[in-house]
Amino acid sequence: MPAVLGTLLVLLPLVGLLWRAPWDALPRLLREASVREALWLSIRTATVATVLSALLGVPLAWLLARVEFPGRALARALVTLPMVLPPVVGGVALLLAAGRRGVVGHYAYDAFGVSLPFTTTAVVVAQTFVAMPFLVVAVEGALLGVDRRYEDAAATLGASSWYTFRRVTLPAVAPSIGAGAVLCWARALGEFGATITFAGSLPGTTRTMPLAVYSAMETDSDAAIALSLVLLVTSVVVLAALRGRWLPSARDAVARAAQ
Amino acid sequence: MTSQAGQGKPDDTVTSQAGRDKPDGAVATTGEAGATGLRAHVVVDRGPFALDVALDVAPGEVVGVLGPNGAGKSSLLAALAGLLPLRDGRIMLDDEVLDDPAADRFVEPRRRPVGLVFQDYLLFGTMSVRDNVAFGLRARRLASRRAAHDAADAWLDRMGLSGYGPRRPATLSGGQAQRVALARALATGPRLLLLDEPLAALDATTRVDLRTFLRATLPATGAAVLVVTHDPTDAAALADRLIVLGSGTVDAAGTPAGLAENPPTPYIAQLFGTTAPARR
Repeated sequence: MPAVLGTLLVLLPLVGLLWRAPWDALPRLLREASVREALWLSIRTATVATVLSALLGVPLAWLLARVEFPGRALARALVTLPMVLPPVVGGVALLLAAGRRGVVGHYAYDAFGVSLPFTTTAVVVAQTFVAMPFLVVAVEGALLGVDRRYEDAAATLGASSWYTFRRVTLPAVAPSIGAGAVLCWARALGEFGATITFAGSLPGTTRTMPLAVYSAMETDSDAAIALSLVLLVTSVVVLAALRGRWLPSARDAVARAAQ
Repeated sequence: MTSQAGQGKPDDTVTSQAGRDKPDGAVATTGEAGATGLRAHVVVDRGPFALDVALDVAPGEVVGVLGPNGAGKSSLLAALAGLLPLRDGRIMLDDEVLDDPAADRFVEPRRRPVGLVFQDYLLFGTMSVRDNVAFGLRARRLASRRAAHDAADAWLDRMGLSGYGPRRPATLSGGQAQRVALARALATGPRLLLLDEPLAALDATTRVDLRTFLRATLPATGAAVLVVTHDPTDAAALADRLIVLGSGTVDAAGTPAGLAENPPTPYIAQLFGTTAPARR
């Protein structure tokens, strides 16, 4: 019985969303400039945040998985903190650090007159802050699961540690990097709390899809529902991509090994 | 060095392949005048005991290391490959000191002319068989991509695996994977070749085939070869000379025939007791 209730709790709101969706007006709503603007901004920022997360997150995951250093446990906890931290707190923290009067931000403002908050870059920073841990955790787990003796084998063949990483270790964890990147992208796409605190909700500049949904709810609920549908479809596609691409390929690998 | 050429019954095609000229860029330094092979005194700490073994292997000679599980066989190979630094002693290969803690000298694994074939092969699953064999040449920048591929194909030919280059390691049988692992180790022309239980993971038929193949191939590499095994039949078939390890030390050394006739310890008598008649 609790299981049925639990399923209903997840399912009913989605049914409600589909039930109330203005299907007839949908094509018109999705063509509206403000909607397309928010959609395009979201796709751009989430993609840049994912690329940034991969560029910074893979080396970070490697450091956490492979290098013994003092305070590694603390570093690991700090890296994953944004996963449990309320995103709005992350936004406040980013503002205090990088704002015009922030700990780091005021140097940039005094020296160059640039200020990060309330720009599209701030959106990317907020999304990266919140979403990168998903990629780091996925890649670190994969690195910990790799048989280190393959790296020994590469070393006896004359490979440097960089060459070994590039040709042996990285390809071995590539599926996990892909899965982590998809999760990271999905999380960045849905980012709300840190973005609205650190970047605000300026149409065309920082008003991403979730922010557009929130502001549309006050004026035009049909537009909000239409935007929500787009995000829902995106989530389903992400889920299907993760299942279709990575889980069966893992099953195939096991089947091959068992032959 | 005792020749045992009459012991195995080498397959004709294998012998002719093994005796063929080596591929370009491979095995450049073996067999040169002045090559003295391996002279090592290995002392490492491994858990409950210290491994303390002295051994010499001449170029072209195949020495078998025999002993029960936990006797330190794998540690010995790891130390020679540089994966496990010595606590004491010295490793010399053709007048080059590879490890000497007293002189504060340690050559990294990747700078040693040492090939190691792992028991479970450890072929890189994300690349083709050809790329596996070419890996060492590419990593050491000894050859261009194309030349490394050509050399890899030549090695696969020698191993009786012509046409297997584009395949993935996961599609190979155990015996094929072992040959690819051997080709990968030999492709950079090591002067010391280490094989860890090369036949242990194979079924009976493949085991006999590969044993014959190794018997013909290993001496032809010109490298000093060390084969670790727990099976006296394999050891006797492959090696010119045997070293029997107890818990970390050499219990006995000699030719397979000599050890079988005059077993110095009850363990060795038991080892050869069942297999000696079969080798006549």
